Amino acid sequence: MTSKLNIVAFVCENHVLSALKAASTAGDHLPESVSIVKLPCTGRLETTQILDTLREGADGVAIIGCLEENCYHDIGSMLARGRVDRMKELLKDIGIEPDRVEMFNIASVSGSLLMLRISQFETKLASLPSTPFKGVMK
Amino acid sequence: MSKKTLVILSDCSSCIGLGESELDNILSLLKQDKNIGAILRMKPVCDRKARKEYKTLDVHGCDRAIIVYWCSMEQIGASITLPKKIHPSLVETLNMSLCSPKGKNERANPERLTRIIKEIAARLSLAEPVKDRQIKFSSSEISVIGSSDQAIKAAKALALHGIKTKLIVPQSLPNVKLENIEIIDGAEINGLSGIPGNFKISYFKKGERKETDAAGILLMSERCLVDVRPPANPRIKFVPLEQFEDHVKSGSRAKGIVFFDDLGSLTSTTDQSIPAWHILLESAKTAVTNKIADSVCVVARDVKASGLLELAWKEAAEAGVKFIRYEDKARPKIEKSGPFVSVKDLVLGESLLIPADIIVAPITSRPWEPSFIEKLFIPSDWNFRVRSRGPQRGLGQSTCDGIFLFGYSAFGKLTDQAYPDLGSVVSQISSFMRQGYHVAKGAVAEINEEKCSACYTCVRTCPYRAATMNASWKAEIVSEKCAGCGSCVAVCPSKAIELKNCTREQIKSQIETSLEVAI
Repeated sequence: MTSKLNIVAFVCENHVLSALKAASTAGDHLPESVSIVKLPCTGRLETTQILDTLREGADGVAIIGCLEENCYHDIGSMLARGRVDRMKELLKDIGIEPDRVEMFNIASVSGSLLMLRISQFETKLASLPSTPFKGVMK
Repeated sequence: MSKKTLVILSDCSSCIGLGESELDNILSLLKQDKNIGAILRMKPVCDRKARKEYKTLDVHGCDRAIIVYWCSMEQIGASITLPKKIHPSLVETLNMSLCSPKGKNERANPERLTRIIKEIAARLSLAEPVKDRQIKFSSSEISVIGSSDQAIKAAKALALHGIKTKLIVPQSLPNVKLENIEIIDGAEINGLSGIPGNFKISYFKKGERKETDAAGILLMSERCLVDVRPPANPRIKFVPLEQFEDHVKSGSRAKGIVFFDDLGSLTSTTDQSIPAWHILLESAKTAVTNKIADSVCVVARDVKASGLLELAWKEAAEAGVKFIRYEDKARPKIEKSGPFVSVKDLVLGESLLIPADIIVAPITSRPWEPSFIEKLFIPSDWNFRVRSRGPQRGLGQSTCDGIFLFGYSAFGKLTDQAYPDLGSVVSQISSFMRQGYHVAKGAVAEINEEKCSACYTCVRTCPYRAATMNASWKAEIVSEKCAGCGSCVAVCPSKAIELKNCTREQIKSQIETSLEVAI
């Protein structure tokens, strides 16, 4: 069931990428359902881009940024957090499960925590009904 | 030149990777992609002799490349040089060991590998070549802005490192001379412009507007007038430390003068101010030598001193100034019965009554006021505290290259607590100055002036203060300051800003490719 999921993860290329590397050297790899989009900072991500991703047929969108008080670009993580919170309320209004969008803040050394968060997100998505947009844009 | 991507597959099958049949499968899957021009199979990247062959390989008319390899040595991809026809900023390395499956017996999934390569190719096909620039410093001086002993300490330490140092002080210090340090006193700072390495500080001195060049700036904590006054008492006069000079000139005599290190100790506020010790001790000394009072006392929370400051303490004590220490739990009080201050002495264990007609305390040593930070136009947060870099960039580094912080502005620390950080800050500055150039990023944000509606959103958001308004009322990004984080791109309501090599189109095409393949 989980292999059929499509999760798009927006990842900041500073701290989170090194967390991914740390996880992989420890033998912990990303699940196959996750595809990664590198961003210079999570502050680069627009709310419309999250909506677009869901419309294209993604089951879930994960936004993974640095810790808020230690963001590489100082405010990026904080901006992204605000956007994700607003996005969740908007999704609730238009009748899509707000759990489909989630933001994680990960330090550059805690690779295993990142993997744990992603697998938790995956199981949460698996329990939801399939996305209404699947195959629509095709 | 076509915008096709060259995929270079390193043959790492001897380590982990994939078998022959699976590789052929990948090749056939990739050939159908519209963004991929050619696929090459090369010898493993870990072979030093084979790496030379990469330099002379046939590019098949492509101008960008993805190097795919499986290796536990992560950085090996960065050491590969490709032919000149492929711009170095358009080369992406993909270490597949980072996403191969768990367990040794499982093989890498060829479908997943092709998906990842296609995603990167979709993003790369829209990328433009960019290059980082080196901008040489026009000046070789560093300006220390601030006035207390912290500033003098820092300036001395910088001068010892052989850096040309300027000390810009708001107070007038006509008699102070320091070795190898140029002192600009009585300067009211008006503004700061320029880029890292080529700053211009403008200031007013005796009503005249002047300018000075600086490669870097060390911002100290002082000079901010906070209106804190001791409890009103008709028998006791309060003189701010900054106006004590005028009081001495007036020639009025008093029974006793008490100097406080911190007004917070009298007003029972929790936050501590930083005493400008040099000025306080000098004032106490002049009070004794001019004989304007019978007894001169300094009541201080903590009497610790080193270096220059120790000398000042010694000189003041020899002149006849009395020092009394108190603890935070037992703060000094103003007696209601008469002009006295009572302090519990720690050594004797009993309360002392000190005659105090006049109370002198500093009111300046506080964080910079918001308007000052606004004037300087340096990165600050929404409470107008200067933004300091986290530990990843080192202590004392602000988000703007070339602007360093020390003292209260950086860490919220008192002089004595901040002292151990001084070495770190000075070494940061000296390595910055020795570098001699500032690296301006190539992948920066750009503004489409036709779309810009001059709403100031980007100016307020940019954590590097790189966005400004130009003369024609359009937003402008100073490319030398921009770090390419893209915060302004996302906030712009009229979508007038685009980040090079991370455009909306690129992100969209990458998402589309990844979901297209998956569905």
